[in-house]
Amino acid sequence: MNLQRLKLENVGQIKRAEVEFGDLTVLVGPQATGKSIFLQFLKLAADTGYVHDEMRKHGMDWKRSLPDFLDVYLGEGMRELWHDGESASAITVDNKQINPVEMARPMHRTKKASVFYIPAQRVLSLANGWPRPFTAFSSEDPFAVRDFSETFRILMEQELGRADALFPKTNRLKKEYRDLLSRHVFGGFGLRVDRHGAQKRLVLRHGETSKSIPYMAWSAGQREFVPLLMGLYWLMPSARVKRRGDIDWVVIEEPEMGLHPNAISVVLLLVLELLWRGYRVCLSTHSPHVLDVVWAVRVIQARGAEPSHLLDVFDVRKSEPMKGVAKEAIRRAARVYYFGQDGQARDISNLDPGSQDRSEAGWGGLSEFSGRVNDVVAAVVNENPCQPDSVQKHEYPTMGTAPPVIDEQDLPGLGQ
Amino acid sequence: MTFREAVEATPSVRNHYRAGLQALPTHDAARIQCAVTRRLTGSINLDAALRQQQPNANRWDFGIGYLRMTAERAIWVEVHPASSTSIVTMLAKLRWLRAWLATEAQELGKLTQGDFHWISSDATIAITPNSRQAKQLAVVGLRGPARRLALP
Repeated sequence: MNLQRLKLENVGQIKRAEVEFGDLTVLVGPQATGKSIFLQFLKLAADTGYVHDEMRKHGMDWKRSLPDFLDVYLGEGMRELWHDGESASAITVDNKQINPVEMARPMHRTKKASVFYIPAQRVLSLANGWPRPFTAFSSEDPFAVRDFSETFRILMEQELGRADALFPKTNRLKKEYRDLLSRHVFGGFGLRVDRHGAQKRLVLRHGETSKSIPYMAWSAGQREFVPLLMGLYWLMPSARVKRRGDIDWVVIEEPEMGLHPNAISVVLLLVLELLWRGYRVCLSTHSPHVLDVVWAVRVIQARGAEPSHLLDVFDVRKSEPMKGVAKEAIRRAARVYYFGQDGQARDISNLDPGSQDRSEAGWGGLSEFSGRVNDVVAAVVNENPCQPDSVQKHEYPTMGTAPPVIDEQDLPGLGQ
Repeated sequence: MTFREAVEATPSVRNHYRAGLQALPTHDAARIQCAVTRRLTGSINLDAALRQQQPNANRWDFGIGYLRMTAERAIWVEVHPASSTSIVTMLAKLRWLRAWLATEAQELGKLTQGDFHWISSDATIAITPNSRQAKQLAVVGLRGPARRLALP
């Protein structure tokens, strides 16, 4: 599907959000500004036939009613976000307005998914250490969560569940990723399929002889990460197969969820791998880490610099496969949109820290707080010089007194 | 004491006071915006003034007199490429400026209330507010880097 541009008007919190997609598109903004709604409409616009087919297959009937359809697709109660009359809701795909009734009417469209959606609530897909089927969810749950969980379940049943070891696994993911994930996410533990009586379950285990650690005893970050990892396994079928079926797009909501910054870096490296494999990727995020990477990509692009500089960001070995990933990432277009509380979406792709536009300079609020902290600290330092007896090396003299003694080797963060 | 009087009370730069922003090259003066221009009471190009006396020092660029309420204060501006590789240089420049204010320019030091600003000489600012480098600047009281300095 060659969808280039999507516009939503007057849909829920969104007054107007028009996004021209890059190969990598990142949505940022405060909570409840419509990022997730926007991404779910991207999925719907691209995969209407697939969505209808999956919902019918699992016994859902919306009687061709748009409000009923929105309730089952976005989750119970979400019919309210679409309205008629003055300021009517509208969806426009590549400059062509879609009749909303069409979205609810079953049609003979392609039933293959082109968008693979990894939702923010992905942790819900694992119950007692095994993925839940589509029908195990309630009507309150969005299609994106159910569909992801069902895909995860199929992956376990048809491809992975028969193997004992799920991570590390030699024919899945490049060695560089496996090493980083092992260090930063799994802490040397392996992800295994175990049997508790007759019931299969995912466990963590350190070596072959140690006791299994069940799902509920994992760290919060591991519980968040394992469904994401399984989603990535789905998208990267094996070391020799670049892409999965007809999937063109990957949507990942909040890839940073529950993870330490070192682990977020690995996830972002895997996002670059998705680009290398030819997917277009859409992320929503609250992590400045994600925008740090986009910023680096854009600066390397703008300066025509050597793509492998990007690997320095991740502190990963500059092997030939990784250089290939970096080269491809630098070749692809990255865009960033800020979803504001005023209901408007703005293009802040330049990520210019010196921009006059506060939403761009503050990276949609992700670095604004740090900037304010820096200003306050600078003001406090200037207004309150250290007493000579208290901090010898860091004192900043009152003007007109003794010469300053500032040794940058002793300042925080320097000389490291 | 006014900014002009403080400059003229400093032996090494006493002849370098200029009205408004005239001590700054035009392209650098354009980086300073002031809502009420009469508040800009003068300027000094420290870098040029002290080049012969301290050729190897990390000299600071400019001082600006600014009338705030009824009192004048000195605002110090360095125009420099804004990348993380400039951090050590900027810290050295600030250290030099503080030493100079404390020892050779004490009247200007008295007008200084912590207004030390780094203005980017390039279109690109390659230091983000959440970076370690930005925190290194904050902890020594240096603000920026920014593309321009806006004064009320």
